[in-house]
Parts: sequence; structure tokens; C-alpha cells
Amino acid sequence: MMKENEKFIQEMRVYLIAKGVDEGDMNSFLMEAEDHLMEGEKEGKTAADIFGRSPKAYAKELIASMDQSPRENRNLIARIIAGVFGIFLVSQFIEGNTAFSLIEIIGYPVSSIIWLIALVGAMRLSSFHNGVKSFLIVYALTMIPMLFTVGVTLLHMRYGTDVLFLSQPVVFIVGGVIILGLIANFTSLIGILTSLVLMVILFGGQLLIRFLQLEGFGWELGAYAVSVIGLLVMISFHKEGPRTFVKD
Amino acid sequence: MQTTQMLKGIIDGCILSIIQEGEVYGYELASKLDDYGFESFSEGTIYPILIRLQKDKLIQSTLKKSTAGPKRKYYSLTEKGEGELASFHMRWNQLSNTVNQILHKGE
Repeated sequence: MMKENEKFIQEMRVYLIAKGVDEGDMNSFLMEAEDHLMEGEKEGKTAADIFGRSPKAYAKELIASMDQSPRENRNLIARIIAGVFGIFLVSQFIEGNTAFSLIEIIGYPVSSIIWLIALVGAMRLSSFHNGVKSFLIVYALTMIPMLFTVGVTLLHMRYGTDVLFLSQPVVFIVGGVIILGLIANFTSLIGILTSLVLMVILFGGQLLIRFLQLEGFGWELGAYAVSVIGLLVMISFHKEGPRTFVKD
Repeated sequence: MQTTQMLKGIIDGCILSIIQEGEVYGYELASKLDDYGFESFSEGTIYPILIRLQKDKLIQSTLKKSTAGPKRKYYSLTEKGEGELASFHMRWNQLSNTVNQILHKGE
């Protein structure tokens, strides 16, 4: 498929997901749109010829005819918040932080919610813009939760007194349950194999540092970089894999 | 008034009528509309309409393997759709007679 047409499909997918359109409706439309674009290509037609000059206006027209499924949407949001918070908690455990202050107990769940809002907002606002503009929007919007999270950590370091202490066995049990929960949570979204890979990417580096008892900021940063690069590689593989499945 | 504005009320009926001729998939439907003379009509516009018609149970779709590879969605009329098309026919005849009488008075 032509690059321009592929871009149209990708952007439409992101926009429809961010708008909470029913997944079955979305996949069914994207399958037809892809087919239409490929047929049109043979006659020299572009996405703009077929779907009009403004993809955003088209997407709005499309959404008006589709079911937006608030219940499915709410479930997904709840699962993502739980997922983000779970990942955060496990990485805190691995780092050896087993005592939490009130600031942390309230601040971190709130920051997971702000993360989610910022990410969904970034997805919505950045669709249908060119590369640089879309990057700037995502960058600016993810700075907000990032600063908030850093703010919570700083506040805790300055004013926090630990109120919740977890003993070693409790940490192992809670951590194990969270990891199992995360795998179950992600399995229905991205499949079991990808979920297991995701866990290794998220926690592998950190665990290795703990086991090998490596000290220092450089190692931490290295583990973080490995996680981010691993995630990017995984996302690009996911994009190339089979994408359209139809739920009727 | 733009042609597209005028089309809004009658395009559903035209699409139902084309689907009645035999099962079609999206691209085929757009090409047929174009062949009939709806040239200014942007092809992608059919999809929101098809989704709406299906939601109203006027048309139904089945997935079939295409020669190109991926599965294709073919649309056909439901019984309710047949009824709606018949009533569209009647309404259109009445309307076009009236409009023609007004436009061609004195001819």
C-alpha cells in the first residue's frame, strides 16, 4: 500500500481508539477502508481523493454513525490505570522501596490517572498532524504527568514520613500477585506471549541490577533505556504483525 | 444549494436500490454510484451511510474471501430494507412529479 494511504489507516485507527469507538465497528471499517484504498490505488486514487481532504472531518462523520461504547471504554481505562499503577508498584519493590508515605500512597495513584489522561489526550490531539507537530504535542502533554510524578517524589523526600511498611514476604506475595494480574490484564489485549515479553522488558533490567547487586545511577539509567528501547521494538513488531481481525 | 446538500436526503434510497441489484462490497458500490453519474460524490461518504443503514437493519453484511486476499464485506438488503426501498420509490415519484410540475409550469 502507498505510504500516504498507510498513514491514513494508522491515524484513523489511533483517532477511533482514542474516541472510544466499539472495537468491532472500528476493525470492520478499517478492513473496508484498507480494501477500498488498495483498489483505488490501482486507478491512481489517493486517500484524499477517496476520503476527502480533511481526514479529521471524515473521522467525525464516521464516529457519528458508529457506536461509542462507554462501558467498554470505562473497563479499558480502569484496566490501564490498574496496569500503570501495578507496574509502578512492582518497580518500587524491585528497587527495594517497601515503605510508603502518605504522599506516595495518594500521589502515585493520582499520577497514574494523570498519565492516562495525558496519553489519551496526546493520542487524540496528535492524530492527523505531521511528524514534527505531532511529536511536539505528545512531548508537551507527557511532560505534565512526568513533572507531577517527579513532584510527588520530591515532596515525599522532603516531607514524607513512611506510614505503610511492608515486610519481605508481603512484598513477594503482593509483587507476585500484581505481576500475575498484569499478565492476565494484558493477555486479553495483546496475547500471552507478548504480555510475558512485556514483563521481561519492564522488569528484567531492574531485576538483573538487583541480583547482580550493581550500584549507581548509570546502571539504573541503562536499565531504563533498555526498557524504553524494548518497548519501542515491541510496538514496531506489533504494527507489522497481523492487524485486522474482524469481530462480527 | 450544493448538489451534496440536495443528495443528503436521497442517497440512502439510491444505495438501497443499488444493493438490491445484487450483493456488493464497498468499492464496488462507490464505483456503481460513480457510473450512474454521482461524480462529485466523495467515495468514502458511503461508509458512514452503510454503517447507519446496517444499524437500522435495512441491510446486512457477510464476509467472503476476495480474490485480492483479505476478506471482504458484502452487503445485501434485509426484508426491512426491501420495504424501505419500496416506500422510498413511492416518496421519490411523488416528490419528483411535484418538483417537475413546478419547474416546468407553462411549458
